[in-house]
Amino acid sequence: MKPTIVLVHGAFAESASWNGVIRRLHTTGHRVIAAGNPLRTLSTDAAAVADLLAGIQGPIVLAGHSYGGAVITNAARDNADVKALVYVAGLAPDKGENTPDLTGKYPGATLGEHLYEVPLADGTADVYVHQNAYHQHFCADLSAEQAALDAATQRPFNTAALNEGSGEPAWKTLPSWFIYPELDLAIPAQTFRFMAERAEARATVEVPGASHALPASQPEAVADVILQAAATI
Amino acid sequence: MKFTSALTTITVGVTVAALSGCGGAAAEQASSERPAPADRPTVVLVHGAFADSSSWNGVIEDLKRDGYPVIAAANPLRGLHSDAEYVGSVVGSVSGPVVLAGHSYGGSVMSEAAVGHPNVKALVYIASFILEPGETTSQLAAKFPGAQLGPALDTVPIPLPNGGMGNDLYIKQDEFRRVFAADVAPEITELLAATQRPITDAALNEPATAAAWKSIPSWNMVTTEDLAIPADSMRFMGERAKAQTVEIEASHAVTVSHPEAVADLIGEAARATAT
Repeated sequence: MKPTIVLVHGAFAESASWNGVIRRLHTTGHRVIAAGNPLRTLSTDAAAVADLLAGIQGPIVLAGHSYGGAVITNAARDNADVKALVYVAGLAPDKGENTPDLTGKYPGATLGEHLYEVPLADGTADVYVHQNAYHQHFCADLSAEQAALDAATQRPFNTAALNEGSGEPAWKTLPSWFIYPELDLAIPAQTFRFMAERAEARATVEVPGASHALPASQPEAVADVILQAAATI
Repeated sequence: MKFTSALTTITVGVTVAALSGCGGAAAEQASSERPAPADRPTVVLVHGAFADSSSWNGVIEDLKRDGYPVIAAANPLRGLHSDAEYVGSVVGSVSGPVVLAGHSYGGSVMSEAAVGHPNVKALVYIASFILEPGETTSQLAAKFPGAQLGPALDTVPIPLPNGGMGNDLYIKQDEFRRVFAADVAPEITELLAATQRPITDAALNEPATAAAWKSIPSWNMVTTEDLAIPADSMRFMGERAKAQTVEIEASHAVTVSHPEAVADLIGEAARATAT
């Protein structure tokens, strides 16, 4: 039985960021579900993805982009059907680490200087990337037209999700694959190398010249790594 | 630490200035057939169930070409009141006039979200619901015959935020094109099916508590080939709201299949309510 591939988008994006990857995975006959990551708190986001996973029969390959990596790290913990984790410019926090701990661990991230907050009724705030900074700091290797659409449709990230520490990470017990961009302005490449080594990744791929928006800009390379992971099941 | 330290220095004023500047560069390309008003409102788009903001992509391209700043709101699809409160906060972050457009369940949300925001000048309902207080989205989907969405849904049990269990609803991937987007190419609908965002059954069954369309001018696009909301239901709600109604031969996924017609109606609402 071919594994079902579940894709978890990150902050300032939505599931459409995976479109090119989905198209490629469909050509190999895989069932693909892109999860609607709520981006509210790490524990509730992980629970939402875990609920979706619980309804899937058979083996699962779970891939996460950016903050979606932190979500898969926590969503896979209690599901024996998840056989592989794929981090796509993805965060792989250890227990207690939050997003800023990792984005700020090494120098080079500029995205944080181009964010703004929208206050919500519950006292928290949503964080957005300024539309006029989105292309340069999030997806420099996409066309200006695509960047303008992605900026207008970005899903914001709640401050509570940003600051919540991870639970026990699933990458300690599951095999993991890492693919990350060389020129990431949201999460420094050095952070990815550090996380991949710590997780004892089965394979680590650095994509030269690529931006943080790897699923959109390098869908073939991303799908290749996902298929590598799927082939081990 | 980088994210948080930068955040605290950013003010809402800066935010709004940056946002409203976004569409400016494209202004001179506005087509002469449908000139946009000089003081362009920000268009806030609210997607529906089983979709996400990318369902507006073609519409956004047209609106940006005409010089409108655009924000597509991340509709949570969790509960009608909480979704409306959330979209209301997005509307509240925009300074200057706003035209709100909602697709499908997004219209139910918009009718409540606009309340208390005097900068909302127009409501544009696209293959949508225009509910009276006390009515639910489900009721109006079933008020007239013809909807085929119900049997095509899958449920995933989830805990509800205020305790108890509920369900997330998804359209079965192999039914998605037929019931939701029959006039969209299969190579696109396979992506829409895989990336659909689920809605809770609670959101569809939660009664409306407010109807901004009673005090804000409204426009209504009826999709005649719609298998999610019967066209007769949309006609009924549009007449009741005294909305400017147009009909189009299209499936429920009209923002994807006929984005230019949707952008035209939004532009018409913007021009008619320009001050």
